[in-house]
Amino acid sequence: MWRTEGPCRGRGARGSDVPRAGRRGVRVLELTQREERGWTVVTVKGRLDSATVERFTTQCVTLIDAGSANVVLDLSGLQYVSSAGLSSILGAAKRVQGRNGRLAVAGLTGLVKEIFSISGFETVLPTFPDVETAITTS
Amino acid sequence: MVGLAGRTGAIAEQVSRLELAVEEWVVNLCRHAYPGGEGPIDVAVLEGRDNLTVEIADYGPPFDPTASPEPDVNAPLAEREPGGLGLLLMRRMTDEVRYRRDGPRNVVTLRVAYRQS
Repeated sequence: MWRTEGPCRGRGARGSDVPRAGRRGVRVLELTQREERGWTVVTVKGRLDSATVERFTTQCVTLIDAGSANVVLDLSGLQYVSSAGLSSILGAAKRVQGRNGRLAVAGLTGLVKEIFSISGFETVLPTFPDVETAITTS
Repeated sequence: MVGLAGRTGAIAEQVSRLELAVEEWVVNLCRHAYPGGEGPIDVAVLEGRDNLTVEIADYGPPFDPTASPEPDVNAPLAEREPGGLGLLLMRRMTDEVRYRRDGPRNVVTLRVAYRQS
């Protein structure tokens, strides 16, 4: 057993002791962005959780406020998403919709797909098997 | 729990589910357990022959997560609010969520059973 002293501080608490990348894959967030046929494709790999969500949120706010009206999130490499990540994706979707744009999600697999389903996100957000389908179908 | 991440197959997936549930509850405690101040969080991990249990205790005001209502996951985008998803995921990712008040502590127990692949 271990004890943390103070909210989100101390040994073992995520905020101060983020594990390094291990054998099972990255335990951090990798973000890349590109423009493709009028869409801004944001590739999200690794973990989208309370420790990494701020960077994702900042990137989405920046690109949406810069004028990106069609955004697709490539989540095929996303291994883990918590409610913090879901809330940020929801915020991005509402932000782009507020500017008469659209946000789609592509590449949901495994546990991430299940989490999207449980939270109802598969019905409130346009979801596609891959980026190509998202771009050509939307 | 990170040390258990070396497992493979069905057990690894159950560990990931439990890890998510633990994150959701611990983050919730970080935000709400000690309003305006700080306090300890006790975490214990117990691995059984066919299950994994994490017990998380805080010394904040009484709060029973098993009694909280779930968000409406069928609401359209415009009506969706960001809150409530954490507790929903905590419940759905685990096989059992239990709460008890133990003196000055809230004690939440999260358990997943290992599945045969």
